[in-house]
Amino acid sequence: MSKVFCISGSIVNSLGTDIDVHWDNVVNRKTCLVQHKIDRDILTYISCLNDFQWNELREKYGHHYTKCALLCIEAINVATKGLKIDWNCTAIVLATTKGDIDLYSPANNPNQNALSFFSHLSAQINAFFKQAMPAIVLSNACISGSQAIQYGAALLQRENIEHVIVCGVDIMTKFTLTGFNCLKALSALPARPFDRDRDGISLGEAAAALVLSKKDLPFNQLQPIQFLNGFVSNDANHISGPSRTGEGLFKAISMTLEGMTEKVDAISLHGTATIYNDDMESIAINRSGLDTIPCFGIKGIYGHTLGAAGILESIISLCSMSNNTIPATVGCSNPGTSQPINILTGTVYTQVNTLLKSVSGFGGSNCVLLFQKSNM
Amino acid sequence: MFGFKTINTAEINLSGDVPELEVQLNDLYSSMNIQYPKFYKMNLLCKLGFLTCEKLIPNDWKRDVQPAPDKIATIFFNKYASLASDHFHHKYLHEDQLPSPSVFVYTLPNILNGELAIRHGWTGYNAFFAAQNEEEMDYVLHNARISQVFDYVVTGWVETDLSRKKIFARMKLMEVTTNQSPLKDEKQVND
Repeated sequence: MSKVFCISGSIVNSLGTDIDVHWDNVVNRKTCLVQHKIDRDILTYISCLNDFQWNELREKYGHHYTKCALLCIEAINVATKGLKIDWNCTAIVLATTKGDIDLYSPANNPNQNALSFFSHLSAQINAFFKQAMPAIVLSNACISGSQAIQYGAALLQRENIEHVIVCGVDIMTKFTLTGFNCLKALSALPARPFDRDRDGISLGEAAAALVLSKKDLPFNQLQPIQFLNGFVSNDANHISGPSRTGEGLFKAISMTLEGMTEKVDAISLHGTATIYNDDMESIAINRSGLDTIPCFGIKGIYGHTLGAAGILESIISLCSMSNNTIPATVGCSNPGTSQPINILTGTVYTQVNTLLKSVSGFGGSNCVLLFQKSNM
Repeated sequence: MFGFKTINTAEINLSGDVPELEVQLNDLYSSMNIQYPKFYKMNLLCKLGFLTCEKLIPNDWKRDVQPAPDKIATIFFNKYASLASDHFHHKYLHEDQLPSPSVFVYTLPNILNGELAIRHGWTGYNAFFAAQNEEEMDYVLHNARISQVFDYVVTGWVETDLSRKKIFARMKLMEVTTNQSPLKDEKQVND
């Protein structure tokens, strides 16, 4: 098997596209979330691009692109800037939960039933980057992004492929906001992952792209980081509620770490800030014997970016490794989960050579990824 | 190296408007002599996938083969994702009604993988891919197996194409076959 190196990453959201700005923002505990009125009296916090930012993207790439396509094209462009990419030997894997669901409106699209929000997206990306290979779209709820990295690493094993670009995206829509609102899953405050008073998620709009390569190039010009292993499991328990025992996540962590002798230095958790998800994660981490390992979650900064989350949070994790800095969990003042874990409420400067990333989602899926600096 | 050997196939094709399709699926469920009340809560896509999978898994297979539940993958494909449920959720918004949690949860295609995991106790690899056509399936399946080891896979195309008033599912139960020499290679790598 060829080694898989994460050589470049980009994040596109309301904060812009500069990865250094994103990392500074994380370290300085600034949130992208702003208050938003959904309907009538319902307030929540979200992160989304403003009209000016959308117009900028449309002016840059063309008015005919959908919102998802604009975010993906920008993310992939930024991630591949300065890299020697042969697009004939490059595969793209897209990850999204709802794709261009905003097109689903009689006003926008009279032919609504004939349009596939996913293949329409991949066709636009293919056309822009003039790719012969169609971009496959992975849609596995909130694990989509992480699973796309695991899938992309396998795709990179093919002889004719030099680079795989995995790009996760989800946009802010009334469809998604009202959906999570009817599940009573939205917090009226910015998300407080792992805090004892947490009461729900904040939603975020973003695209994030990660470039995987067979060559041991450094991540964002700092240090080579390898994707070592990943594992997907299912709780086989409930379609929308986390397992009470953390069984699926525990299994995915065990399988990902199987045969590992080095210790994990940090864990980037899913941390949606719902009571049940964060409790479930604490149980799985505790059962895995990782309760003393420093953990963090960044949904208090970006919100839950759904299909983009696994990739966006992996990129911030790679920044954490490159900078040997484990960020604080923004929104968490008083950690309080059903099992004790080491949630950081302050930034820690320490060697981060090996990092574990976990996500879980609707449908009972869990996905765990393992990254390691390659000069270990 | 590995390959896939088909153990069984199953197919369901139905056509009509949504209420007619619901009736047809419910009738099919009744005729199959299954006791699984959760079936009635599912959306069209999951009902369709669920019944096709019931037809797919031979009665004696689980008993005779005793496959490890964490080594059975589910990998599905379609073009229109969860369009039928998207439609209903959107209808609530459009008509300014309160959306329903039980509709919204099903606006994710991979809920089908979740429903089958619950039904059969399968805890392994699961994925839903939106593909352009069925030719992509073998390529994706092969990559998925490189990304994570599994012994069996329940896979296929499951589509609720409301614009053409058609729903159809074509599923396969496949065994992953390996030959001896590459296995040795793998062992050498591990050593």
